[in-house]
Amino acid sequence: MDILSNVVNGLLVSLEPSNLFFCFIGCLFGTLIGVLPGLGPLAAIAFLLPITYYIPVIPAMIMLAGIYYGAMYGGSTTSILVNIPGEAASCVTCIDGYQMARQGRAGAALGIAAIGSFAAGTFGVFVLMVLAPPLARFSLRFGPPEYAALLLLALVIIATIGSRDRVKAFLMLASGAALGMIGPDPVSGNARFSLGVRELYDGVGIAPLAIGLFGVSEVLLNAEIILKQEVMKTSFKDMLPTLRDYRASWAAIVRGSGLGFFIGILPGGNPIVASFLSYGLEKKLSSHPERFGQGAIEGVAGPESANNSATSGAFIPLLSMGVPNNAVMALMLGAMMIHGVVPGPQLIDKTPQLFWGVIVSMYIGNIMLLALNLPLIGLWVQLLRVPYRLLFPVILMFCLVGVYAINYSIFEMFLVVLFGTAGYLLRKVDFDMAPIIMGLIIGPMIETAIRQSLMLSRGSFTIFVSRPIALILLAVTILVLANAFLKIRRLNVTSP
Amino acid sequence: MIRLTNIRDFWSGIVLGLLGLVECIGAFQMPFGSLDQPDDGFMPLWVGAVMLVLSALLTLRSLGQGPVSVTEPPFWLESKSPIRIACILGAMSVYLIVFEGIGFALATFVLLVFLLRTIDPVPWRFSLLMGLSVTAFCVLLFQVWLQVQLPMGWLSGWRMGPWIF
Amino acid sequence: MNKKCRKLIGVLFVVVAHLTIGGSIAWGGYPDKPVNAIMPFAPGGAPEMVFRPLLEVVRKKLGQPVVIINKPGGGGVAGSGEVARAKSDGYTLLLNFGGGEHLVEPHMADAPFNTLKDFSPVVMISYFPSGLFVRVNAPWKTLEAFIDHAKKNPGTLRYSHPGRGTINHLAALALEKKAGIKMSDIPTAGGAAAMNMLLGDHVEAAQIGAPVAWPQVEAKQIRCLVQSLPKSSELYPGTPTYMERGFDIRMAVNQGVAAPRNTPREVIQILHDAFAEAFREKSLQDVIRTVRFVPNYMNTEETAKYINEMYAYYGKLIQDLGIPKKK
Repeated sequence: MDILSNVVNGLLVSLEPSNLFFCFIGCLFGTLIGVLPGLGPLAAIAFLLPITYYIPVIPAMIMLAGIYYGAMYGGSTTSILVNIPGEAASCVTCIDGYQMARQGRAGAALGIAAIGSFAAGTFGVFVLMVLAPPLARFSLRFGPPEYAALLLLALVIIATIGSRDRVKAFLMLASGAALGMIGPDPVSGNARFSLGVRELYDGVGIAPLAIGLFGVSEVLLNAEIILKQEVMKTSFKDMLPTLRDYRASWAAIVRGSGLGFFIGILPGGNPIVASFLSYGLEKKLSSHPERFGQGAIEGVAGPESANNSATSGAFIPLLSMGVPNNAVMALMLGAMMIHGVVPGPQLIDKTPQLFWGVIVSMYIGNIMLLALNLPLIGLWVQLLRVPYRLLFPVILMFCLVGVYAINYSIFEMFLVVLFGTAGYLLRKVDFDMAPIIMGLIIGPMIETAIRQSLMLSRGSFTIFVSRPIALILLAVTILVLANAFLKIRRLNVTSP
Repeated sequence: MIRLTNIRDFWSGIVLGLLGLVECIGAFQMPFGSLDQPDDGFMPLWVGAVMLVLSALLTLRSLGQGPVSVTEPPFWLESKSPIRIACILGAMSVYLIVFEGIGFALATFVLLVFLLRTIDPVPWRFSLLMGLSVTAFCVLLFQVWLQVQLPMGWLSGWRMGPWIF
Repeated sequence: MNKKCRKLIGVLFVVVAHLTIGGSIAWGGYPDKPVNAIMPFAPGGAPEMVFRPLLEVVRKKLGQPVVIINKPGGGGVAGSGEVARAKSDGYTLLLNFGGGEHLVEPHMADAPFNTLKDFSPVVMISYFPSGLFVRVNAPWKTLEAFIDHAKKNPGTLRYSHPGRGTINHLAALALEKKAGIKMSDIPTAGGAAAMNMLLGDHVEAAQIGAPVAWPQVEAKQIRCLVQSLPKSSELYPGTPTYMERGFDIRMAVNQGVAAPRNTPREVIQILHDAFAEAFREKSLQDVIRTVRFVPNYMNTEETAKYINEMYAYYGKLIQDLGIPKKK
């Protein structure tokens, strides 16, 4: 079978010792950088890109892919351990992962994150092997109207989850969207809400926001209780997930993988949207949604799988059509071009060793990451044993310096402090932080999608229903809404 | 009689409502466009409006007729809390102000030692030792290994040996 | 404790001494420490594909590393502003000099620098054009056919571009004015996004930087109707220039190097010579061509003249097009 021979080819390429070596280096460094707060795959690749100039193209791509995966996984580690998202997509993991850590189940959380990521990565690679070109062509069909419909669906799903206090959740969502309005207008380019501050011309970065709202606020909250209680339970019940955990999570992992992959192949497909959607989906489908936010393992398994398979998905348009989906893929494209490899539809035909070699090595990379990270869990868990009063200054310092390292901006450090304070105050009066991030990301995306759609259609709203994909998505949205209303109706009828 | 059943929600609603108002005011100062040709201010106006409505809801809800909410934990968990928070925030603020001035290494060292000493005091010797080693590790990690150009500040005259590059 | 302490201090002393003394072995004169080259964009952008290899070679010629420091913000404006305010000691340079952020942006909004007064040009390395692309199965095989269709169906042709105020957008606007046609512009976030729109058939044309789009041309997915360099290049085979077709549109995104004004002549000369030597190396020429930038070397005087010329060119064009100032 054709695919089989290709896979064998790919195996031969990726199992070459030098390629294996670079795969390992990529995974290792990617993980280490991803662990640092604020530094995610983009920063990791940017740091290590120069090294790739000196090595031939196949090991270079293999290493870059490894870095990407490694950084995604490293980001989850800090989310779980200290509630600091290593990078934007791990924000969702903070919600339940950190709670699990506080209950002494950090090992289980880290383990399920690793295993979920591995399963999702495997799934993603498999789909890549089989369906790359047709999927890429499909992804190009997603234009602004389809995007708008998809994001609307995402919003509706989040809305109908039913968090504890809907008014507050929506208020945070709107606040996030308001923050997203700061920056250049997507169409005219004018600076909006810059308040005359030059650093705000480009908007509020997600890194300072996430680090401040999650990480710094957490430290501030804990600083209050240092003497009274322990921050973390120091008796560790489980180092690894139990059978019960696996049973609870496997469905979430499967769903997360599928969902994440789909989001990943779309232009602009962002792993963070994938993880939010997965969280929402899991909560919706769960029989005990109130457990979410208190350490529900599905809340870690689903999003982690989703963001890992979104990562694989993002490679499809790049490798099979030469079309970069997001900033990281654009970097990879650059790396390929420097080596004289012209990405495009003929990549598969002209340089099959590159295509299949990279894909198979992604699988190997997933295995390496699992092998690397599972033993490290013990190490990380020991780190939690360190008394908090020694730990928190280092955490705060990393938050500040990590942010500086991204853009060399003192202003962004200031934003970390500002949002840290805001997050602290908001959490004290019982507001959730996750919707803010969601609003920040989705708000501008939806605005851009709607405005571009209207420009394409010259002001006509029919564009949203005249295109099949958009129409289908809108129909699903209506169904979800109807379902939610019926549920409320039923509740009203049955409750006194 | 209208009673304030939830002070926190009340004030949260007010503050967030004000932010929504700012958003709306900002939106008005931008070209608005129309429904089929939205311009700069379109989305901000809607977002601001949603914030206003929701905060109003929140504030009104907190003025319910029900019983005063069950005793919540006090705002400041301990009497020392505000001081601790202020210390941390103050330290971080000073850090970022002097960061490029006195340099990464010095600023970090001082920050670490300060935080170690003030919130939940760690013995002096250990604080200094830990401050020094963590700072050294970070210099190695960021400056040397990741090639991030951290400001040297007062240590600018001191150049690292060639093997570091 | 005392003995141990002294031993420790001794070791520390040796280490510190090694670190300091090691670095001070410098041959007097410029440069005697690493030079910071500010790239006013986020890492991994297109110009870096030229600058990173270039600076590697320059390092050998200068004897000191030239380190790229990314300072993104404002589309290239923030980083440039920082260099304008930097010390004129030759240890801070500006990369991507001659890009849209220096030639176009200041005409459209207040910039924290004056392109003509705040910088001392050093050298020009390369440039690349903006191109008008259509799908390969589109009915228009030439620019004329495209313009013809636009004239007969005003306002129906939609083109994507990386953002209002970019050189790409200006090129399209200039064509509209000079050819007397009307198209609809769809701004997107960057060249890749604009290209995706075209590939997905959401728009009829795209005006993007040629290097970004060329892999798709080679893959026979899209076609380039025209490119905006003053003269044609073998890197874009079969593509006419606007000038050849009778339109006075000559725009290029330049990759040059500059220093803050008042940088001493000798320093500029040393820098220029290092870059010029690096430029002549075949390996570098190959890299530049590989990413489809057109090598275009100009020495210090020529660069200054060129920048002045193009700055005025864009100023006049923006006035002619009636584009109001932003913000």
